[in-house]
Amino acid sequence: MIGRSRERLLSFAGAAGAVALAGVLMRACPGSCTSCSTCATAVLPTGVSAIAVGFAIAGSAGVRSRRRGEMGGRSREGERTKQETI
Amino acid sequence: MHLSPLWANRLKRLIGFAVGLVLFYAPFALLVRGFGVLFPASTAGTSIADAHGACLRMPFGWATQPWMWPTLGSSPISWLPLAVLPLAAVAAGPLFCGWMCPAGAFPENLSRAVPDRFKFDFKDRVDIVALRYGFFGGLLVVPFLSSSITCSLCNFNQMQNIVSATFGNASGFALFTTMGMLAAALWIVPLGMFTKGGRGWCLFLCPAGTAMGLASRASAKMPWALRVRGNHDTCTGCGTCEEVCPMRAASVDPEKGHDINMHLCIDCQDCVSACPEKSLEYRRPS
Repeated sequence: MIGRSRERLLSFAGAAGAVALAGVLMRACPGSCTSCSTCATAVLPTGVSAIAVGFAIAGSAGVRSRRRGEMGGRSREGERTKQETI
Repeated sequence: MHLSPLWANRLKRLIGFAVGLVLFYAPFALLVRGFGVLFPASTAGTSIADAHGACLRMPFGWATQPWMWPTLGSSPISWLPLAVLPLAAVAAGPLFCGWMCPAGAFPENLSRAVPDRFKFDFKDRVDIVALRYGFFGGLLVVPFLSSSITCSLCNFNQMQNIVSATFGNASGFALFTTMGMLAAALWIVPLGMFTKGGRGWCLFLCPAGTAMGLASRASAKMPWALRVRGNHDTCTGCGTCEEVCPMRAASVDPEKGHDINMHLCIDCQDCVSACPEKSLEYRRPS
């Protein structure tokens, strides 16, 4: 249970942090376009990286092996179709 | 021509999305025009009648900024995402997402053209619910750190550009910002066409959908609450519901049968119509 809670907390914090970081980075943009190219050189790459890092943190924390194929499913007749883990 | 129950349901939803388009998006924007007539001093009355007049994202940014509360108070259409839609979700689930939101329907339907083997399925790979609330929390907190980014990361705006261009006005694309382009690309390509279900943006980045999901989950056990619910006695665990769910909310447990995650379910009822055993129903708790 502790692992699951930690995984959830990390996912939540990673996502919230990525959005917050993207928001802070956007302060570099003057708002209306002055062709300063700050967006192309700084904001966009860093923003994309921040979101990617957020996803990576959340993804690595959230990987679960709960997939139906790995755990075994049931057929229409209600019988197990995949080998059960003993 | 004979339509399967699943495709008949999808066709009905397409009609609902067309209604949503007429209500929210220019050149029609009937809801915005209606509010503009009723409340001429509100944002709906003073702004151009398009999706911006009934924004479903900005009010979340305003709600966290006390200096914007007078604007919220004087603009009843802003209560739509903050109160009206979540209250409707308490009663009947997030039907708006599943049956009316064109910005969610667009990538969902585009993704049907891409074979599943090219799509990424977030389910079981990341904790979708935690990420969803994390992004939502970030959107609420970010106005205190810099300024609101609800507009920068907006898919409704991009949808309005697409609809306007379809009706001959492509001027919206001239106002594309860097973040706007990033948002449009994310919404349509990786989180749309190449995501299983086509609703990756809805899963992670839509504050209105998250608020409705929270309201829906919190009230799911109330006696009046209409939701997609299952009958575990007849479920065979075949996984059809899991396969067709655009929000990746349905899953099949080998012991318990199907399970619907109420944080994510938008009550689109694709699973209800696709279930071969009719184990799923849209109903009140029994």
